[in-house]
Amino acid sequence: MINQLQAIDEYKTLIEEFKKICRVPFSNIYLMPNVIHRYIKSQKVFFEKSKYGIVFYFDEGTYYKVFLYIDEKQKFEISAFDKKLIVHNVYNIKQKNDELSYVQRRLREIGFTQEGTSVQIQGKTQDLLYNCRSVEKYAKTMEQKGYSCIKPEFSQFNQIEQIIADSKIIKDYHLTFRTEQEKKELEKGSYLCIVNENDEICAASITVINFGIAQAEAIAVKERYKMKGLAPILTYQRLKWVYDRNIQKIQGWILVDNETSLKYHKKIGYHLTDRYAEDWLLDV
Amino acid sequence: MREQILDILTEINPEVEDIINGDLLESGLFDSFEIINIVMALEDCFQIQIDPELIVPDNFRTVDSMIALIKSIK
Repeated sequence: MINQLQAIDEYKTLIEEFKKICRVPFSNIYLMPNVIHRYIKSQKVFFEKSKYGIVFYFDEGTYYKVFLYIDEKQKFEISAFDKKLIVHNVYNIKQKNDELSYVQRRLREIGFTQEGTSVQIQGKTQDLLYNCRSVEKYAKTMEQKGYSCIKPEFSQFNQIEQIIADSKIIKDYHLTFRTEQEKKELEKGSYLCIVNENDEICAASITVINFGIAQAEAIAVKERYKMKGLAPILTYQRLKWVYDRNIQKIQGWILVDNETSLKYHKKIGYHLTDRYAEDWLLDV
Repeated sequence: MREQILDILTEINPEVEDIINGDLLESGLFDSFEIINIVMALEDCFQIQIDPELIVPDNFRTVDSMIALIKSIK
């Protein structure tokens, strides 16, 4: 039976009770308690409890993000829902072991398909900005030619999200779900875009600062504006925005088969961490 | 002009010498970041201004396309 999670204490009790049954459970939960609390407060968390553990469903709008807290040696079940289900499994590549393969096999049995693997990249804001210094001059030149970087109004956020979705590289489940109110409360500059002289948005990015670290969530360029250097300009402007906020570290995720993006980010000074994430999808 | 462009490209990425008569973008040697450096270097070297509408992949795909681009501006 699926229930709605009412409070963070209920969440903690569920976890603690199951730990008494299964001392070393498998878990793909990586959210901090305050983030879980945010979802609970928005009435967006559901769960089902059984002998093999607990399955949590976080409502992200167009899909549910599924978090497992289970005895992975048992055959766990995941209920079908009215929207697609994503299991986002973050792991350390150096610690990858058989435990993951039990869960992988079971997800496949249930009907999930593996959609992609991402690697986390990190960098020091100051160093990255220095490495991008040649872009500053180009950005100024392009500005004189009508392409400027702006901090868009909330009313433009939908357009920006559509550009990101149209890139087909970044999927909806790669973006953090936020309510309209939460988007309005984001710091100005979290959404950045480049507009041409007709005020058409040509490229856009989303960056959010959490716990003193900048999360580079997405960057995309409209198809017909590609290869004009707009992505590097936006990258530079994003780094400047982060730097001006005294945030020293920036990180993000890149699909491991996106060689162009990996090459570019390594070139400007990002390094690949040992953290990888697999996305498993069950499309209903 | 050809030599000047080759010098610019080689400075940006020495590996370009291996495929200098080929498709520079398909080769993966140049991406958006390098396009910036190529545009700025061409503008400096040939004292031209390249309109953003002309910064499209086809104009930077080969050395010959870059020569054609510069001639069209001059």
